[in-house]
Amino acid sequence: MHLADIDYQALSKKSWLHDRRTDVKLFSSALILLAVLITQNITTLVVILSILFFSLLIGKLSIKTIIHLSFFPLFFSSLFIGLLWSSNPQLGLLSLLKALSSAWIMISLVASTAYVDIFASMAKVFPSLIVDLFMFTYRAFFILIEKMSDLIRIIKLRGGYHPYHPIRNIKNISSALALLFLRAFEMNDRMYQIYTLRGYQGKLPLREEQKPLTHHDGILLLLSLGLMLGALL
Amino acid sequence: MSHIHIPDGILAWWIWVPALILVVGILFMIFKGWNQEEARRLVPLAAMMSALMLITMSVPLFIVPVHLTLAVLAGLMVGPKMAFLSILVVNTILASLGHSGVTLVGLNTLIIGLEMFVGVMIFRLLSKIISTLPSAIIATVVGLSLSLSLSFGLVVATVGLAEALPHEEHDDELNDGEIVDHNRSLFPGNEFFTLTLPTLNHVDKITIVEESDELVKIIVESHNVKGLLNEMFAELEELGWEKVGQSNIYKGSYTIDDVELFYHEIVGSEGLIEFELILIDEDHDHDDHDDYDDHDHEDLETILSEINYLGFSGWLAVIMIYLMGITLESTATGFIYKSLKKVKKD
Repeated sequence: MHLADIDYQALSKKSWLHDRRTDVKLFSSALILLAVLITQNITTLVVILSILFFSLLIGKLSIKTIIHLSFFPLFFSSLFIGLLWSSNPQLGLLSLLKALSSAWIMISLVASTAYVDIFASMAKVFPSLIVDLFMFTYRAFFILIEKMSDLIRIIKLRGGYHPYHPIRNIKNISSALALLFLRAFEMNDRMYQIYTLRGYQGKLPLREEQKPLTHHDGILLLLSLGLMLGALL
Repeated sequence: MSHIHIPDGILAWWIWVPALILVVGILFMIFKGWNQEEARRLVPLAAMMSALMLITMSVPLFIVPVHLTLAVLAGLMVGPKMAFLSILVVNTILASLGHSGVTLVGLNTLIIGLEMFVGVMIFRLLSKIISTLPSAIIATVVGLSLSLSLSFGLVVATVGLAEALPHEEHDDELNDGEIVDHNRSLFPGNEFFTLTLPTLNHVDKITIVEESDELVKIIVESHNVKGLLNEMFAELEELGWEKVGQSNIYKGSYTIDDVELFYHEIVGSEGLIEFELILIDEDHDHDDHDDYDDHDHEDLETILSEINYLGFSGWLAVIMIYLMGITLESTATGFIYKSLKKVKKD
């Protein structure tokens, strides 16, 4: 899971892509995704992929990280693409490029935009409860990851894991997960109480920093619009 | 486990768009008449559950090449309404990280949501009769089996796994580039391929893939498949062909005398339609179709033979993988829920 790395990338790095407005990036991502979905042309996809790769580099993502993050979509789509490849290599290649393109679109978005800003933009469209759930989940994820790594270490140290006793392992790990869940829930519940005391009434006051619309945003929009039109033609 | 991992651009829009609309409809129903105060109180717990699901769904298990979802556990912990929101949140975050397509968020939410809903309902029924652990295990087994069958069936039906498998003919279908010869000796019903089809407005290219005494197979390339098919339907009916079956506009069959015509769009490659003329001899009718099916099955077996698990191979390995996955998910759900109940009765 690379959520922590992507979060660090989005918050701590500075780049041309980081400086763009969140709504512009969201809209551009949607346009490019649409272009990827509708095109059946390998050359168009290669052009889109090249631009995305370039944008990932602009977004200060190292090649090692890009390869690491690309492993996810490639791994999960490998079986399907493998089947297509043997019967129709061209179609297999098309599917592979599409899988990689859509993943890179999302990665370039989330690796250059703080999640809070994405949630703030989402709050304009989605019900507040869903946006809150996204926010709390996002926080809970980091609590769980931290607690889980501690817990796994404790289980191993106390001999709770043995490779030849699968049932005992399932029982131990399930109990550990339940304990972990309870602890993390209590922490999250405490946070909820704090929010309630501070006036939380079902809508987190997410404040999106509104950067002025610059010609750089225009370039990004034009580029994505161009790709979209290119895919249509 | 029932999470569909197909990347964007593979499934047709008419599958994922209605799924998204359906999810929006369900959300509307959830929010309508929901006690907001109660919902707010559940948000931290649901978020915790989402985070747990996020972790379990993003890590494939080492002993089984699948991942858990813990959707039924989520339903048991926070109730079906809030669990549905959790599932939506988890699927959205996973899709944004390249784990399955963004366009599949709706479909995955529906399938996993169904698993959760069925599991919760069964648990509520069973827990009145038997204890917590077996109730949770049985509920998860039923919910998961249902969602797994649904996602597997959906992938096979829409992406056409059998169609996507290697066919000998496909190896040279486009390389040959052989155009239909109008003077060829006519296979019964082949006049449609040789005389009518080339004259249709929306036909760009016709390629012969296979030709024998019992079967003629061609691939037609078109810039407007829908237009071509509509033109074709009109021509066929004018020539006296009778419609036998049509699952959708892109797939169906016609018959005349002792010949059957099958057509279907080659999934994932817009603009290509495969046509088959099969001679139906009364004595060999079933044999012909069986041969055709056997051919597909042979290809399927080749792919399946490469799947090995715990000393099993082929279908047995696939079944074992799913059985192991279901067992792990259901026992994990049962034990986690039992442990939670032991510590926190409410």
